Amino acid sequence: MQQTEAIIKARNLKKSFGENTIIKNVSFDLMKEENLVIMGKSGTGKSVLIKCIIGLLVPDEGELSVMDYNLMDIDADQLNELRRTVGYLFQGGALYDSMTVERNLKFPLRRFPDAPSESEIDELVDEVLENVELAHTKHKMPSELSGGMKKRIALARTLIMKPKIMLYDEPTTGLDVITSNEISDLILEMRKKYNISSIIITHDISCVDKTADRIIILDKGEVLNEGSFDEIRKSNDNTIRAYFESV
Amino acid sequence: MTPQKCGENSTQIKFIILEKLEKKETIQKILIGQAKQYLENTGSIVNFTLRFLKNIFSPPFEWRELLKQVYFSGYKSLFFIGTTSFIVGMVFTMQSYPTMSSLGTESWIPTMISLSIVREIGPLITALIFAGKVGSGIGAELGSMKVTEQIDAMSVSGTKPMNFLVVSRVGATTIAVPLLVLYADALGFLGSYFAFQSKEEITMYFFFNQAISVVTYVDLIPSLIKSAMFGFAIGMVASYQGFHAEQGTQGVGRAANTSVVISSFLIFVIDLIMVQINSFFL
Repeated sequence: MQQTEAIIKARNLKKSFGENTIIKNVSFDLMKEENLVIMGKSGTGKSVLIKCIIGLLVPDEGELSVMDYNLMDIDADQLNELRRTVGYLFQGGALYDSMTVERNLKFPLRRFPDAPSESEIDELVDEVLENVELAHTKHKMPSELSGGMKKRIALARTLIMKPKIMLYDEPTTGLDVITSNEISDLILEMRKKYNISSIIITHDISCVDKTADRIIILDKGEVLNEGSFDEIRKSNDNTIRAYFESV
Repeated sequence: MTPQKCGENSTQIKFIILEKLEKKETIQKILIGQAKQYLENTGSIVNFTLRFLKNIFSPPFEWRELLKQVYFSGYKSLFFIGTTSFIVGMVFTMQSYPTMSSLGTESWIPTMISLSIVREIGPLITALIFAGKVGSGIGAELGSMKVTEQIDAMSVSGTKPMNFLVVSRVGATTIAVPLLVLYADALGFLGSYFAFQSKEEITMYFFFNQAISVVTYVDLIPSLIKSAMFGFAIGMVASYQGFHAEQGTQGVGRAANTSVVISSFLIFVIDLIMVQINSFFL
């Protein structure tokens, strides 16, 4: 892995909803082709943090830049431009349930300003479906798919846009151990194949073990610790140790 | 009164005053909270409408989705709207007949019914049924998409959910309601004819000829403009409610329900305004 330059830079981020401060003083970098795992208890602001990165939420304070785009001062067109290079895997997959798998995959591509031709789109659809090993589901509706299949299709839908950064929001939650492992393998495979930098939010220690180059632990909206899997695992902090008890 | 009792009384009075002050503060807080909420909601509606207006003219134009929505909202409402209009036409004629007959003016029934249907009953019945069937459907569909993060998924893929989901649906409802009104008018006439024919010997040709001969552009055009405004209001309200649905399935139900209630209310408000504007021109 090359750790040459930061592709995401966050400094002293703060986000509140009313009087409730969700994240405060959060600073980190995501390096090129790095897998950064963010761990923390529910409600510690992990999802809020990646929603800030993709521009679904705007931080109240701090600095946040993603690939030269300053998220604190960005217009709608620039934001759409940025979003075409950042993939976001939602916790529930968020597949469009009124469309077939094929239409789900074609939906973003057809709406690109410089959209590829229909035959090129067809090729891309086949390619990403092969990558996630679900070519046979092309004409199925999301309601006909299992939880794991939905996650894979959702991943394929983001990969079809050839993203430079992937944001995974609890990619293995609600899946059995075997499917979870398959998803973790897929995350690694996609990085290898497309040179993607990733932020992975997860509680799943085996997924962390497999995918993480570096881990950030969030607690009560603040960065509690940062380091490699082994460094974090050896921590004397009881809060941190609690995450690893199952390993 | 003993000094001790006097002291007790003054303490009681102090408590009562404090209690009242606390209540006053609580009421003030509630009122301020409600006013704040009201202003926030108004701001949100204005912002949504402005975003909608901006996106009407910005590509990509979702023609395919627009046609699909016109089909779903229009074609699929034909049965309910047709049946209701037919029944209303019949009932209206049956109700009017005894009075008109006693005055010897039953021959005016086709004319009276046609003007009533074209100017008021057709648009109103169509819009109310449309709000119940299609408005609630849009509210529930978009609400469900919102709570399952499908709308966010569209946003983060760099596409414009406003164009695909809102502009197409509001466009479809604005187109579909006037078309459905023409259809509802025709079936209202037909219902009226069958009711009238059970009382009087009259041919369908003669009835329709009499009914349509009095309807002019001055009746039809404002009725269609009003219908388009009903459709716009239904689409906008339902889309707004769906887009702002929260708290899971409960929020989806609330979005569907609120869409029907608010758009039904707006239909009457628009109707009142349009009658005033129309009478000004007449």
